Amino acid sequence: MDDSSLIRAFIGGETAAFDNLVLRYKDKVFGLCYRMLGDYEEANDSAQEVFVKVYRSIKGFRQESSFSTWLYRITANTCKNKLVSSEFRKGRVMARLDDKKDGDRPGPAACIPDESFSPRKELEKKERAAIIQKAIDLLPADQRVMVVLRDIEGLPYGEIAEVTGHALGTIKSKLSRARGELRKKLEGMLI
Amino acid sequence: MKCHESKRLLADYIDGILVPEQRAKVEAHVAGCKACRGELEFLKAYAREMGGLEKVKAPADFLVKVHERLERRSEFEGIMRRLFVPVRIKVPLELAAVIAVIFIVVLVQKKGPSAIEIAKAPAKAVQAETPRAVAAGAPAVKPTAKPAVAKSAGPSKIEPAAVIRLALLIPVVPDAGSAFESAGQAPPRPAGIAATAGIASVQSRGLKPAGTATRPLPGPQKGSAQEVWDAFFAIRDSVYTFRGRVVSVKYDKEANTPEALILEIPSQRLSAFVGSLDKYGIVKGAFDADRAGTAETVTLELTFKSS
Repeated sequence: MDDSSLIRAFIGGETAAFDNLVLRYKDKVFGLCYRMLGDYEEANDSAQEVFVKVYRSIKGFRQESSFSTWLYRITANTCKNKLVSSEFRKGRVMARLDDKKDGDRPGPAACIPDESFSPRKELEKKERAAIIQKAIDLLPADQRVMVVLRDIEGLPYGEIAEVTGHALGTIKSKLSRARGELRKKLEGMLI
Repeated sequence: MKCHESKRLLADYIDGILVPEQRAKVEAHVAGCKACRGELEFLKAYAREMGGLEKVKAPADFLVKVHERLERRSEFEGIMRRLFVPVRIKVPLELAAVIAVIFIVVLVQKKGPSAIEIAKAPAKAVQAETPRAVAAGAPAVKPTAKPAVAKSAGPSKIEPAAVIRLALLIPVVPDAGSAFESAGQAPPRPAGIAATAGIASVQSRGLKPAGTATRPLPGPQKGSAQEVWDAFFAIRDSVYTFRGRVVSVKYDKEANTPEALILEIPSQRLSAFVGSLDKYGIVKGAFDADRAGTAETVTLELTFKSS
């Protein structure tokens, strides 16, 4: 069943239709939340909250855009609200302080997985991913959402405009600034 | 194409959204510009790295957790609905209830100290009236007068004792001579009597209970003196058997005899005590058991006289 049919069925009272939508999009939503928030538990909490919002407001979905765009919009807004909340910011400050205790290296710290269970390449891959995530975590919320939607999730500019409500020029401008910031932190690793 | 224009288009070049004409211009510029070539290399590596990030998956119980969250939210909303819906009826009623509770609490707190003050007021009224009652007093010698009773707020208040004045006429026995006269010795004075001008008052609190032996005869050797002293000591010692106490003693220094005993006797035992005086002499003076009124104790001034 396509998204529209599932939505119709759910509005008609079929809870199973809602479950199907959750199973179809949970990884995309979760991944977006994880890249936006940089924390697994926070991402889990936010992703669940996204689907609760979907459940409660599905009847107001007018299908002017695709379900996935509408879903991404809810996800981006939920994550942005969490990013600016004082509790989240306090938690992230504590996390960064703990990270700095691990070593004297400047810039974002790396989470080093256990060597005994990963081949060298896998280890390097995970280290690089952790460094990139830390760099993303340092971006302001509006730039972060652009990087995640465009550079990680690969959404086209048009869909990003629908998700964020920004004009194309604004999106490109924010994206350019975000990439410039990431370049300062990642150039040594990437090139 | 200049560098600034080239750099502006590099991102779109990577994204593959440039029209063929623009794409050709960018490629031609990059081939001859080291800086733009470096920028392009970074953007390619960046896109490769970001696009290659591992997809993080939701936990296996994600759907279960979503339903649990929905149930919790429904319960909470159910409670809120019961409390506040319909809003126009329930909210004003609940606000009125809250205001009423606050009002009652404030009222009770204000009334608390007032209640205590009211309870104290009658006690003050009683204490204020006591001196007047005593001063006006029951006329000690009028047989029909009743003691003034101070107004009381309750039955537990103790009325001030009225002073009852009685005289004990001790019959005189002709003086047959005393042991001291025979011995030519000056009789010892009773212990504790101060030799001061005027009437000596002896504080006889805490004197020995009944049963104490008669003291040696003091003072001048008159026949009545012995009798008076004997009666004095006997009565003094018997006061304790009536649960009373000796407040003070008036002493006639000239006659060297006790002049009066000031006693406090429980009202209930007053009649019995006065009755016990008959064996020592004749009791004179108005005595009315009703005089005690509601007083717990009665002050009795017993004057000794020789008949």
